[in-house]
This record gives sequence, structure tokens and C-alpha cells, in this order.
Amino acid sequence: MDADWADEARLIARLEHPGIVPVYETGVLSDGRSFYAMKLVDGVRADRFVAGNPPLGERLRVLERVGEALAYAHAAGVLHRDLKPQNIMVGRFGDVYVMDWAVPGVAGTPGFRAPEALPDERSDVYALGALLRFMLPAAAPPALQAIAAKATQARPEDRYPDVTSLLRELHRFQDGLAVEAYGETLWQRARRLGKRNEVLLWLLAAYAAVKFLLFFWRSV
Amino acid sequence: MNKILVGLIFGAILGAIDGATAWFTPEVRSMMTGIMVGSSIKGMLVGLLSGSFARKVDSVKWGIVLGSVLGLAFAFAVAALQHDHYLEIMLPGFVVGAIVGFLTQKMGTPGPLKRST
Repeated sequence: MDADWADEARLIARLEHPGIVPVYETGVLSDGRSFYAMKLVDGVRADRFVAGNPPLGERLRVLERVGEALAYAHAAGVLHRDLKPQNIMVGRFGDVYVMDWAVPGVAGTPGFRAPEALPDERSDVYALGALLRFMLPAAAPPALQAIAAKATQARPEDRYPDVTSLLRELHRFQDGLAVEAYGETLWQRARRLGKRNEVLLWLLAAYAAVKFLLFFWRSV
Repeated sequence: MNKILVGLIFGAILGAIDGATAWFTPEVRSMMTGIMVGSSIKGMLVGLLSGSFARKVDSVKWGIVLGSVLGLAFAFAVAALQHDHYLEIMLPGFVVGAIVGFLTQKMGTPGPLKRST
């Protein structure tokens, strides 16, 4: 087994996160081939998951789980280097696993690979942005498309500084807040605020309607 | 800001605004101050109880239900004291209660988590 590969495998084996498939054992077979044993994951790959046309919220939930696993790995000093839909498994009960971590010699997959030669955390941010774009439905909200566009900027310094920042933007979108990556128009802002405060607006409208009806009822 | 304080503040403000709409009823215009103060106190009572509920139960739906029931009950009590204007007092009181119940669920910090052994 290549020494670098063994080091990487041991490093990944130390990662303990619900979104990272645990590596049980690494070693060399009697015929000289290297191996590592991982937990068997029962589920579908993210590309097949998306082909099933799940709702937007479900797509974002999967992406968030991937981002959380990635942020954890970065904090432990591990890069993924080859994040793509084929390396993500969605389990039968909604569990999400990121697989094939930090394979030495792999420079990423076209479409998900950042253009820079030396990968760092922002290269994984690029791949996560490309994954977001891949997972979005055709008629995705412009704010989400803008987040994906910012994460996949050619220059690393134009992307989100880390995975956590990207996830924070996704949370802002899901909470009905404005996202930094997208400059919305006044009309879009009004619609977003209206949607965010839908129940309150209905209650205020009900109050106005009650008062209006009572006023005319008295006048009759 | 805790949820009880949110309830008290919004109950007072919305109650005062609701009371102020009595201006559109000429026969009670002379009693505006009393109506506004009474309506504020009613709103604060709804806010206090809704806020206490929101500290224990995290549910917008039940917050609105409880707020509207409390608003209706207190509005009925106010109308019963006057033996008149039941509809004019109870209907808006019902909706104001719902709004206060909603706001106590959405705003303010929840109470400490209770751990069961």
C-alpha cells in the first residue's frame, strides 16, 4: 500500500460524523493489493435520488447534510477532493453519507472540479456549489442559483470563504431571509417578506375585514 | 426578550389600537380613553397568558387557537359588563387575540427546556 494512501485512509478512519461512512479497517491483502473496509450503506446515489424529482426542501436537506460532513472534515484537516453526486448516498430513511474521501491522485471530476491546481477548502466549496447546481430543479429560485454561482466562481477568493458560510446562506434562504449572493428587486423583496409573514398578513387582513364589516353593519 | 414580555408589549399596543378604532363609533367617542385603557389591559392579559403558553408549547397553530379563545373570552367579559356591543367587542377581540397568540409563538426567547428523568 502506498504510504500516502495509508495515511489518508487512517485520517479518514478517524473522522466520526453521521454523514461520513465509517472506515472500519485498512490494510494489505496477501497478494499485495491494498484495501479498506467501510460500512455498507443501503440507499441510492444522489444523481439517482435527484432523478426521482424530490421536492426542493428535500434536495436542500441532502445538500446541507453533505455540507455539514464537509465542514466537519475541513475542521479535522481533511479535504474531499472529489465531491460529486456519485459520491453521495441517500439512505432509505433519509440519512445522507459522503463517500470516497480524499483519494490521493484524484484531482476531481469535470463539472465539479475547481480550476485551481492546488486544492484547498475552497476547492471543496466549489464542488459543493456545483453539487447544489446539479441538485436544483429546472425552475429553481434565483437566490439559490445565485448561491451556486457564487460558490463556483473561477477565482477562489470570489467564492464563499468556507463551507459553513455557504450553508449559512442556504439557511438564510430557507428562513425566508435575503441572501448575500443575490441582489433582489423591490418587488422580489416584497414578495419574500409577504411569504415569510404570510400568517401574520392573513390575521391582519382578517382584523381589517372584521372592522370593515362591522362599520358597514352599523351603518345599515 | 422573553415571550411573556413580547405578549405584554404587543397585547398592550394592539389592544390600544383596537380600542382606538372605537373613534369610528360616534356614540362611544366620549369614552375613548377608558375604552383604550380597558382594551390595552385586555390585550396585556391575553399576551401574558399566551406568552406563558408559548414558553411551554412551541406550536404556531395552538398559539393562535389559545390567543383567539382568550381574546374571545376576555372580550365577552368586557361586553357582558356593558350588556351591549357584543359583536363589536368580541369579533375584533377574537382576531386581536389570535394575532397576539401568533406573535408570542414567533417572537421572543422560549423558556428553559424541562428535562424529564
